[in-house]
Amino acid sequence: MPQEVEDVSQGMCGTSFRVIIVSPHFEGKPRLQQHRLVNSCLEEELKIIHAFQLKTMTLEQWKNQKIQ
Amino acid sequence: MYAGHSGKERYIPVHGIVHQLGPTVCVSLLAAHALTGCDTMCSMNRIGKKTVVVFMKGIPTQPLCGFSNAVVQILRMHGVENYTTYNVLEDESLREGIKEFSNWPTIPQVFFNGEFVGGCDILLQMHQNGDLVEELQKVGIMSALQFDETKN
Repeated sequence: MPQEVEDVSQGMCGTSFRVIIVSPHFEGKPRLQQHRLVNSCLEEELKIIHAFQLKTMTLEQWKNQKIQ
Repeated sequence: MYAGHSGKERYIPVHGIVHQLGPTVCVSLLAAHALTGCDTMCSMNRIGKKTVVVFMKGIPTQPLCGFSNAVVQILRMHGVENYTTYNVLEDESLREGIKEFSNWPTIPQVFFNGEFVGGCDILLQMHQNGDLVEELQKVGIMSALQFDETKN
């Protein structure tokens, strides 16, 4: 499953992350619900992470973006 | 707790209420109050002043976090000037309470008519794909960007 994680903390100290997740689980779900799915998987981690930027995409959206 | 005055005093069993509501609801109450104000029915009937509420770090004129700033700038682009903000850095219990209330781990948090819209990422995406104009319209706010479009 395509997935990108980038450590964007100053000095890459593992406290700020920019994440792109592509999953068929997102199909037909509103964006808020997609984000909630991810948040629930990372519940414990998010408590200690300082900043977390998330972008969720369905497989189709991912393919379309690659074409562009 | 004793409340009231001049013969209208009454005893409110706060401990009992707290026990009945449970810890999660109690923590969320402060945030719920911040969203609804004292008159809960106003906001439920969608006539409250608090159409747009933002929980953020800092204040709109001086955001203390890049993500909070992004939310302020997006709202500004849409001409949304009149909205209620809460600086969570000033109140730790509100900061935790709002996360519990909306079941969302990060700040900023944006609410339209008491309904959770999302954080910075979601608002930004809504701004980019045009959904924000639509959502604002649903709560009776004409986006400045929509105005531009009709003019053209």
